[in-house]
Amino acid sequence: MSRGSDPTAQPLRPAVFHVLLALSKGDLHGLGIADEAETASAGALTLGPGTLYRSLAEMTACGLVAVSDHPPEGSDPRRKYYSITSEGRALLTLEAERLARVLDVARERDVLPEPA
Amino acid sequence: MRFRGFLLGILLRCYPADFRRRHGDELKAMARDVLAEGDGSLRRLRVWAGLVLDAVTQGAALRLGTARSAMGAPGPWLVDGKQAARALLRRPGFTLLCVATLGVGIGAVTVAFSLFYSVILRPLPFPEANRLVGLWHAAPGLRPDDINQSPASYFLYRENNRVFDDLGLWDQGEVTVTGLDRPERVTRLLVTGGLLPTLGFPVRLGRAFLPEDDRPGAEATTILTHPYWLRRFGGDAGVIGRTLDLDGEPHEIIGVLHEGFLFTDPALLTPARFDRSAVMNGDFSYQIIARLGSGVSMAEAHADLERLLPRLATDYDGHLTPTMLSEAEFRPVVRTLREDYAGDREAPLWMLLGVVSGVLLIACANVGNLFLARAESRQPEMATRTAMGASGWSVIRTLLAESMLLALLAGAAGLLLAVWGLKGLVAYGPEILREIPALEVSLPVVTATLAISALSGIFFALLTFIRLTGRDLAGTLVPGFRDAGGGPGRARVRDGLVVTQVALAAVLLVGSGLMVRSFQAMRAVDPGFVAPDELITVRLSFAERTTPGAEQVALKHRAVLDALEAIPGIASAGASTSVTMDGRDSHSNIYFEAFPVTVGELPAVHRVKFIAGSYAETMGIPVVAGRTLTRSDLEDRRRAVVVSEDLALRYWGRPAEALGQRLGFEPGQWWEIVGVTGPVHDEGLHRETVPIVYFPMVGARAERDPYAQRTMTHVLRTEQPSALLPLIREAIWSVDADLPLTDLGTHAKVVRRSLGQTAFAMFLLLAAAATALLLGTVGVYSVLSYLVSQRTREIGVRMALGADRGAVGRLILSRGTALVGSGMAIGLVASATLASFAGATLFGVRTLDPLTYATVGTGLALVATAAVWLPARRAARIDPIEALRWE
Repeated sequence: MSRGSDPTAQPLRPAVFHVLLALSKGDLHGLGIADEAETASAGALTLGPGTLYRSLAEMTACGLVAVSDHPPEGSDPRRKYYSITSEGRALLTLEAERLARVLDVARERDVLPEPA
Repeated sequence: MRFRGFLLGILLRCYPADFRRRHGDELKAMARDVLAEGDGSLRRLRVWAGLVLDAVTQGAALRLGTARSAMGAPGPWLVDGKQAARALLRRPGFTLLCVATLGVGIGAVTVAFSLFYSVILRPLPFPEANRLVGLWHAAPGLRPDDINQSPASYFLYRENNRVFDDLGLWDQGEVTVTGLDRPERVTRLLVTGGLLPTLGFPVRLGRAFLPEDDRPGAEATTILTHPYWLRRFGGDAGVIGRTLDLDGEPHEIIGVLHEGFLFTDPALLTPARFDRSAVMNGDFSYQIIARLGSGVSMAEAHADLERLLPRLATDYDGHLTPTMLSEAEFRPVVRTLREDYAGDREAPLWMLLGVVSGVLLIACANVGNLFLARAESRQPEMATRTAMGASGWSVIRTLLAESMLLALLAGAAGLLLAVWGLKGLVAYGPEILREIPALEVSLPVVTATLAISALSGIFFALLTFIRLTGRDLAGTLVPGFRDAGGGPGRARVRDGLVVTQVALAAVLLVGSGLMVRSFQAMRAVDPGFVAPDELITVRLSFAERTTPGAEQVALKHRAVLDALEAIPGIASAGASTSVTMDGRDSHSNIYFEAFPVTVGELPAVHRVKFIAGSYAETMGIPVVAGRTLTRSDLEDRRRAVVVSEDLALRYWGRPAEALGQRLGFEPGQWWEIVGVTGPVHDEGLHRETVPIVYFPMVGARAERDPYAQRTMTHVLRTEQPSALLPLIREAIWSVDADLPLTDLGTHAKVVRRSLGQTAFAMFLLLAAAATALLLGTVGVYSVLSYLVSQRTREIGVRMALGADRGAVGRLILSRGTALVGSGMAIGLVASATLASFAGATLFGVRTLDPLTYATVGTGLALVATAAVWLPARRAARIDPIEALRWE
């Protein structure tokens, strides 16, 4: 995966970010990830099956996510669950920090109110 | 439910196979979940639409590996492209060599294809041009060539056929235009009313000819062609209604044709206005174009014409009788317009295309070899990649990207070369090229070039890939296990390429050798006249209006001759209706007193020329017997003629025997042969001499049938042609100030033109052969060098084990000469075979000309020896210790 010369400077694609975000809470299967992503992005991001699984395939190849070998309790044994890897978590953190830095700039310029 | 599953299954097929395998179930499951969430048919439809769109776009993206992946990473093809560019830049020598070699080959093919396309493939500018045909007659009992049409046959066929939509008669000639700022002689197309509709060519201004315009006695009208309209009238739309004087007769301009009328390229058209009741059936001086009805075959058209042909003799007056028709085996001939147009230009163009394709193949072979050599050095890299899991497909992709990039670069270079090359050829090459309209690198040609480049790119990639995967890649990772570049499979391919190169070079060399000999033979032909660059010709025409009556015409031509002869520096002057090789020919029935023609039998047809002044002397045609026509012959209207030697030989066996014999246009109206002059190659240097009867410029065919030749070419012999041109003009205008002069120049141009086609072919073949030789030599050398470098280690070992240098050198030498030898053998045999097909383009040289083959064989052997000897020497010089250490 390439993020240009400085990996922390380039933004992550929304789909990737939200998949990682969704999996950060725990393992999910396909539809679960899509639902979480839709909620977290306030409806802006709707992932169809093709888009989702293509992303998952690439992210798996890059080692950011993996097929879960401990699916959560009460889950459907037929479905594949995905979990985030440590690399994925690291990337997620980096991206969140990057976003936070951008928001700081916005607050400095009075675009956003300071947190109470 | 089942139906939904079926639909989902179909959607799944959008994705590539391995993705389907791995995620197919999940995709289906998720799709079902999504669908389950929705209720209400509208919502469900929207969900379905979303699913379809998602499947199609993502599936396509996955299949193509497109530029932006879901991760935001550049897709495989883009990566390969950049890597390919970097790889090529890392080895500039290799890249440049390949691009240059291939570029030259592609450029040459593009030029040849442009020529080919312009003449043979490009559609004619008429709607449904494949239905247009030319109608001719054949009469083997009369003449070996085709016979044209007559106004009588035109009316007969037009009014009675069942197979044509329409047909039109035409004849190309010249006409003097006055009434503008200066008089001018231009080409004019005489047409019947049906011609423009048959061609389907539109008028841009004004109108086309109507049947009324084509009636005898109708007001004279004319239509201008687009280029003439631009040139003479500046594109002024007000020309319609203006009057032009053509040969003294006022014609009203009624229309202007659209651009692109590539039909004999005249300046204007006039209607023939034949009087149907007065046409004679034997006046075969015209040509007919017809449009086949839809669905009508050539055979049907032919049959219909055959049905009508006998009526030509019965329904119309004239010399032609039914007996004559059957005796001469008269029959109709139908040919497509394309055939008539491309005609005898086809053979040389096919040859050209073949030749340059040969050069391209050699270039490809060379580059192919270079690729193979490079492939060997990439084996470790490829092996590593495969070991780490890269699929065969990704290896192919890498190779394909590199070779396609290279090939496309070469294609671009070739195109550039072609554009410049074509411009140069048209500007400086033989005249024939300038006659081909719109000769340029056009869009279809560019497309073809790109296709060729792409194909060669694929070829090279394939070559490399086959080499690489032909053996166990992993095995090459083990150090020391390195294949000494001599595995049987790959050596065969490489050797095959070298042999092919040498063979092709041999073919091209033999071809050019034969052409050179042809050219020499043609130049050695005595055209029948002397020193054409000291011969000035100028064509003059006296119109009816300014010079009515035969007497006047004779006086004027004579006055011009006198004025010209008076110019100091002019050795002699004469005139004729047609000068040797000027492309004009006029034939007539000739009756011989000594050989009467029985009733129903056909009289002989011979070429006739009408002369004045000292024509033969000026031309340098020798007098073989008797004398030439003199001034007093002309003034006294004596019925005296001169014949050419080949005619005298044909009828009387010896030139002297012809003197005193009599001949004429009609039986009973005899003229006496007073002289015999040398034979002339009237049709060109490569054709036989033509028997000619020379009549005086003015005379009477019968008692009350005087004639005078209004249009004559005056010839002048001088050693200072360019200096005298202004004086010549003055002299002519002193006789008639309004007289337009055409074709004022030396006769050398005409002779050059006859040589021109052969010279051009020769030049092309020589260029191709030189390129082929160069490429072939480089090919042989590079292959053998490579071989030596690959086997350095092995050679070192051998030498360490006691083999002497000489033996090693000889090994390489023998390997090399074996390759070259087989290449030459194949090439020479192939040349002999091909040469037998090219018989028509050769002149005066046998297809198995020993001198040519021997020279080529020797030359090629010498060059190849050098190419082989150098690497062999290198092999012999290898230091065994260095060789062994180098690993």
